Amino acid sequence: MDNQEFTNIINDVKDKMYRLSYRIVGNQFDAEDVVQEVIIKVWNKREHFASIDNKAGWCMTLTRNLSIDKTRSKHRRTNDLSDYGHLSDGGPTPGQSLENSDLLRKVKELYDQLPETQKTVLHLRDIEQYSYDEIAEITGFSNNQVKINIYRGRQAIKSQLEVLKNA
Amino acid sequence: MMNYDHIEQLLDKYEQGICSPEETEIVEAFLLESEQEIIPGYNDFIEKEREIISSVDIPSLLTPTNDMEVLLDRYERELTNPAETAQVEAFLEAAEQSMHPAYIAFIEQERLLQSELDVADFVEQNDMGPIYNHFVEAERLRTCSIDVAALVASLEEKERQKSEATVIPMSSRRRSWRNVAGIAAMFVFVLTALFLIPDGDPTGDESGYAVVNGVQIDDPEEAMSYALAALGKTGEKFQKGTNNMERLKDLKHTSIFK
Repeated sequence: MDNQEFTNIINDVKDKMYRLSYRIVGNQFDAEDVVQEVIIKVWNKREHFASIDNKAGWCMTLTRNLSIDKTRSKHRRTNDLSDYGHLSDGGPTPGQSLENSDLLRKVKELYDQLPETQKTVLHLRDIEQYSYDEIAEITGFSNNQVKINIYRGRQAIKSQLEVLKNA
Repeated sequence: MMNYDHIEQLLDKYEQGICSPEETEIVEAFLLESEQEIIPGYNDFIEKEREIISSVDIPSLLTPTNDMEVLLDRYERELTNPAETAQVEAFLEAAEQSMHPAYIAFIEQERLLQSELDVADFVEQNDMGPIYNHFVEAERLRTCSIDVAALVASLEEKERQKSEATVIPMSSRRRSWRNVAGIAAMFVFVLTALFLIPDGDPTGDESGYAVVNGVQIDDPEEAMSYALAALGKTGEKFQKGTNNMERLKDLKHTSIFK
């Protein structure tokens, strides 16, 4: 595998890796650390990497494992204060943008409260749009476990959103 | 219609196997006719008997080893009858119950998951509402700022530098250390010799080979004989000393070492 090929593969998957790591570790600095660590690990094992069929899936598995290690080593999860800075220019008016950010932050809080397994599979399904089989391959869960975790995660968020809506 | 006047005698002979072909024909015709004869009570009885199903559970008589294997094979190929199916399922259930508690707990959990899956009103992402969908869209916009090409280039450079670095093998490194230590030791030795060893005889007379009791010996052979004699005396004294040491060995038999 030449450098260009390696770079292309990593470039295709790096944002997904970053988002998954961000979901688990909770802040961009640790997430980028994890992604960099994954890239270095993959580079060091690039001969083995070349023989893997689902390279993106392998990178995602590595990202998940290293992200979990990161949160364990820190004994806590540090969340970014400005979670939606990347959307600051997106709202039609400053007020609306602020309101949107608040809503997003609330959903993110609900997301963060989920157990790691539910959070990860729900992220992979809803945000990264992986199939159940792909999620099962990345996480090492059975297909049924994936479905159940997605179901439970969505139910939890949905019920909490209903509470927020009625409040 | 055959004549069955002597049928009793013929039946006896048929039983003994001594009938002629004609007699055999008569007997068999008689037996056939008697079989087809309608006897109201008896025929009803026969019919009823035929309806009774054997209550003996043949599969349960099979030994639970090889025969069960056969049954399991048949069960796998869906060839078992209802009784055999029931037996195999009972066997499998018993086998399952004899598993390790942790495995049973896992199975229970899997069943729970499956039942939950069966009844779950699956919440689709579209049902999650606009806020959640907005959140999902916002999350998808997150991007990683790492420049992969630059990182790969730096990794490659590091690797190249590593491979180009001169690596001294351990053995030669040891050898060079020894060489340096050897040279340093030589210098120390030479310097010590220069400073500490006096230049020649303190009397200032540098001629002659030896001095014995203050008398200078100029003849080399005489000097050698004196030297050998001195060495011999030293050897004798050494021998004497070691002989005394030998006695110490006997001390191990004394109570001191017990």
